[in-house]
Amino acid sequence: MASRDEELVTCYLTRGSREALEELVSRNIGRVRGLIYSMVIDHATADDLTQEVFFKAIRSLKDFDRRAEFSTWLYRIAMTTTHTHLGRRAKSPVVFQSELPEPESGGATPDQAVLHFELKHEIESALTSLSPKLRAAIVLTSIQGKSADQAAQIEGCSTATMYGRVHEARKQLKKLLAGHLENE
Amino acid sequence: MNNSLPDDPLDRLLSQWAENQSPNASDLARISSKIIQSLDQHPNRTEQPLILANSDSRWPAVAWFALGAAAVALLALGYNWLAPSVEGPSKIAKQTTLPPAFSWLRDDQLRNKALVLNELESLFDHKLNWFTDSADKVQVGIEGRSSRSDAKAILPHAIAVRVVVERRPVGRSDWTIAWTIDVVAKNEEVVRLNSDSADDAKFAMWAYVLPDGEIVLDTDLDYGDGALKSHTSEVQLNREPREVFMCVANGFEYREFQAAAVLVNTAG
Repeated sequence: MASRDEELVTCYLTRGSREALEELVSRNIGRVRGLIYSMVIDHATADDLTQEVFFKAIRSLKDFDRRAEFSTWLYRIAMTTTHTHLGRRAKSPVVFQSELPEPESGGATPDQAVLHFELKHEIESALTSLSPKLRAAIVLTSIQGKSADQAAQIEGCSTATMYGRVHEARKQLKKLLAGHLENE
Repeated sequence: MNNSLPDDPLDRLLSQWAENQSPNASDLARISSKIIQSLDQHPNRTEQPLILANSDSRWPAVAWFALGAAAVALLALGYNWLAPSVEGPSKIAKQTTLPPAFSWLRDDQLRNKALVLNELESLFDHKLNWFTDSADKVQVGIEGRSSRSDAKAILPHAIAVRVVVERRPVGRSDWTIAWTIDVVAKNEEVVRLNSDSADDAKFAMWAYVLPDGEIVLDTDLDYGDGALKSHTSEVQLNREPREVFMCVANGFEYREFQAAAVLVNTAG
């Protein structure tokens, strides 16, 4: 099996290798789904958008011009699809899960479960309060571990603009999550 | 996801949160399998459209219909070759539904709108959200709250939109412009206009620029006391007008075109 994503793309395009395509999807689906979830904060929506992103990507593999890495190209499709979704949903508020999840057997105590749930809720509220561009900046850099340069490439802006967005996003998040950060 | 936790407390908190939200391997396998199965059901998904690849999605159906009609006509005339008909139908299709010239946003008009935007921004102390120009009537939307300097720094551009409604009596060939509006709005601002008369329209709009420069445009339009009621949600290519709606009411055919363009706010 080829070792790089770009080689898998070549393998699929030139030989129609189904295995290469499956491997390409399998390698990238976790990161793409994680990226989308961090942006939309809804599991069902993240699953749907992940499928849509891979459909789009596979359909346009012939257009992948290899100027950027495959993962950057794929992330760009993911972010464009997600921004479109968020743009259309902007007028309807995000609804969070309002019930406490059932504690897993052998897991946290009820108190710990409440604390965990509250923290999760506050992080999600904080992320959702950011504009989609600021959210994308923090998700790509802090969660996905991309450099500002790579994040800028994915978002289609200059590196300086990306630095500005990351700075602003971090400032807002630190303010919103101050209580939890002080306890660190 | 990151395997080692970062040093910065905020990064660490976010990474842990993201890690806890990631689905398990079987869920990911289920999504992967849905993607691959869908490719099996649509084996031609990776192929490019055969004709009119850069055109609106409505074109191929029209073009294929015209191509079929041309082929039947040629066969009826006894021609044994088909090739010359391939060029023809696309031209016919394009000519019959080409947006009216008036619906295009020209360079000079966009420059003009940028100038007006800058003037109005100064006039209203940078609290302007949008302005519209319809039937010689200019309306502005002003922010009621305190200045949002942060948001403006992040979203320095505005969006220019033109909506054109044309109509003609059923069975007639000439379209005339019934109603039109030009809107300049900040990214993600909602524009809402109520009608003053039956010739006017109720109109609401919301637009957002995607990272690749395309524009998501949602509109609600109620023209002529409900003669044309449209709700559209389209991704618009920069400046290229599109027919987004068509209907027949009260003995008239109506069609609606929209064009949108990113307007760079030169005032910074």
